[in-house]
Amino acid sequence: MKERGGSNDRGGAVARGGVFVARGKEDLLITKNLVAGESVYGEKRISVEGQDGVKVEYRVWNPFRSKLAAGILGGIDFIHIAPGKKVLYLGAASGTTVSHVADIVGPTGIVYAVEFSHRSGRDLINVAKKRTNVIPIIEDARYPQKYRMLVDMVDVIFADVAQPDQARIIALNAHHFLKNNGHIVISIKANCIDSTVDAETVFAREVKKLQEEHIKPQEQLTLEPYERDHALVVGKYVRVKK
Amino acid sequence: MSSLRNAVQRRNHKERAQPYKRERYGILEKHKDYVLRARDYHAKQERLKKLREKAYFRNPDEFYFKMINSKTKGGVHVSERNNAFSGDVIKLLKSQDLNYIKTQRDIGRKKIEKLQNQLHFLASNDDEVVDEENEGTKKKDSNKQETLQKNANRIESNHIIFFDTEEEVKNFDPAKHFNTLPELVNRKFNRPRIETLEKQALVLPEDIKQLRKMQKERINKYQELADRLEREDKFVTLEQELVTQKNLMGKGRRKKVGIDKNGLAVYKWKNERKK
Repeated sequence: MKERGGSNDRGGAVARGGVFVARGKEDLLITKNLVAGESVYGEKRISVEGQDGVKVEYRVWNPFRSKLAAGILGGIDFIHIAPGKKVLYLGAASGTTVSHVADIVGPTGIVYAVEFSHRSGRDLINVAKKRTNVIPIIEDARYPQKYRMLVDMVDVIFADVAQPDQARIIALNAHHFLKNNGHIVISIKANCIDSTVDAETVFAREVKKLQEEHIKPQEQLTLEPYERDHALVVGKYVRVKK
Repeated sequence: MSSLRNAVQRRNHKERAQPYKRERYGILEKHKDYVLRARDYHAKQERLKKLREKAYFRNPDEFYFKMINSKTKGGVHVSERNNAFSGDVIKLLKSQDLNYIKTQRDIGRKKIEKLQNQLHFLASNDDEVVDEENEGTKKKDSNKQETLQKNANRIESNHIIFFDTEEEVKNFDPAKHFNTLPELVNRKFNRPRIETLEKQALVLPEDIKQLRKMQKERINKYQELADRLEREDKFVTLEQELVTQKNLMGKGRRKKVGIDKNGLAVYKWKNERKK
C-alpha cells in the first residue's frame, strides 16, 4: 500500500499491476492516465502528487460500465493484462474500456481494438488518436484474416462480443494471433447466448466449447452486483502440449 | 426646485437584510410585508368569527337536502366523492399518476447512477465466497455477514476455479492458490500477493481523525445508495400496478391468472378477433 497525498483522498493500494484503488470519501477503481489532462468519456480524474513531487493523474474506472473492471473488483486472480503486454480486444465498442486497458499496458504495450460497428468505431478511432498504443480495427471479428496484416502475435485476448457464436469467434482469433500458453479473458452475457436456459448452464456450455478449442479454463467469476447474469472466464491457450 | 433636486445624484437607498444570526427566521420582513400579512390574518379571523356566529345561531330543526342524499353502510358514512368523476376522467387522472411515478423513478435512477459512479466497492472487505469446482463437483463455504454494502449488492458473485485432477481439488488451499495471506483471502479486491507485501512497505495515514470522518461520509453514501435502490424497487412495483389498473379499465374479457413475485395480480386478456 502506498499513501497518496491530496487533501481529500487517502489510501490507495495497488490492486493488480497497473490498476489502483482510491479510498477517501468515495470508493474508486482507477488507472494511471496515459494522456494526462484528458478524459475519454467524461469520467472523473484524480491528480496525486507522488513522493518525489511529480504529479500523477488517474482516471476513474466504473465497474458498472466495464465488465473487466467488475471482474477485477469481483476478485479475479489474474486478468493477464499488465504493463508491456500485447492485447487483442474484441468488441471494443466506443473504446471506454479500451482506454483503460491502454492505460494498464502503458506505452510499452499495444492494444489491438476490433469493433464491427462503424458508429462506435468512430469513437474508438478518436480514443486511438490520443493513445498511440491503441490500434483501432473496424472489421468483423468473425473474419480475422481480414486484419491479419495489422495484428502481431498477442499475449492476451479480451473478448466482449456478446454473440451466440462468441466461443467460435474467440477460438478463431486465438488460432490466428494468440501465442502458445497465452491467455484469454472473455465476458459472457448469458442472455446473448441463450435466453431459454439459466445463466449457469450457459456459462458451463461456453466453457465446454472453449475446452474443445484448446483453451483450458482457469477461473470463472459472475459479475454480481455490477451486472446480472454476466460472467468473466479466464483461460489459457494451450496449442501444443510439452 | 424639485426638478433641480432630482438632477443631483443622491445616495443610493440600501435595504437592510436579515442579520446572519437571525437567518433561521427567513428573510427580513419589511413594513409592506407586514401590512399584507396583517390584512390576510384579519380577513381570516373575520371569516372564522362569521362562521362561529352562524353555527351559534343555527336552527337544529332546519331541513337540508344533504340529510336525505348521504347514506351509511354498516354504520359507516359513505362519501360519494369518487362517483362524481366519470370513467374517462379517472382514466386520465390515473395516467397522470403513472407519469408522475415514471418521472420520479427517472430522477431516482439518475441519482443512483451518480452514486454508483462514486462507490465502486459494493462488496465489503470482510466477507466473500470461495468456490471450487472440478467438472461438476462443487464445494461452497461462505460466511454471511450483514453489512451495509451487502444490502446494496444483494446477490453474491460466484467464483469458480478449474483444475485438471480431483486431487488438486481436494488439496485446494485458497490462500496458497491466490498467493496471499490466509487472513486476506476473503477479500475480493485489494488482495495483495505475498511478493507485493514483501516489496512494498505499508504506510499508515497519520491523520486518523480525518480518516474516520471520510469513512463516516462513505458509509452514509452507501446507506443512501441502498435506500435509493430499495425505493427504485418500490417504484417499479407501483408502476406495474398502475399499468395493470389502466389495462383493467379498458375493454376485453380477462381472467386473473395468478400472482407475480411482487404480490400483484396478473391478468390475461382473451384474444378477440378484430373485424
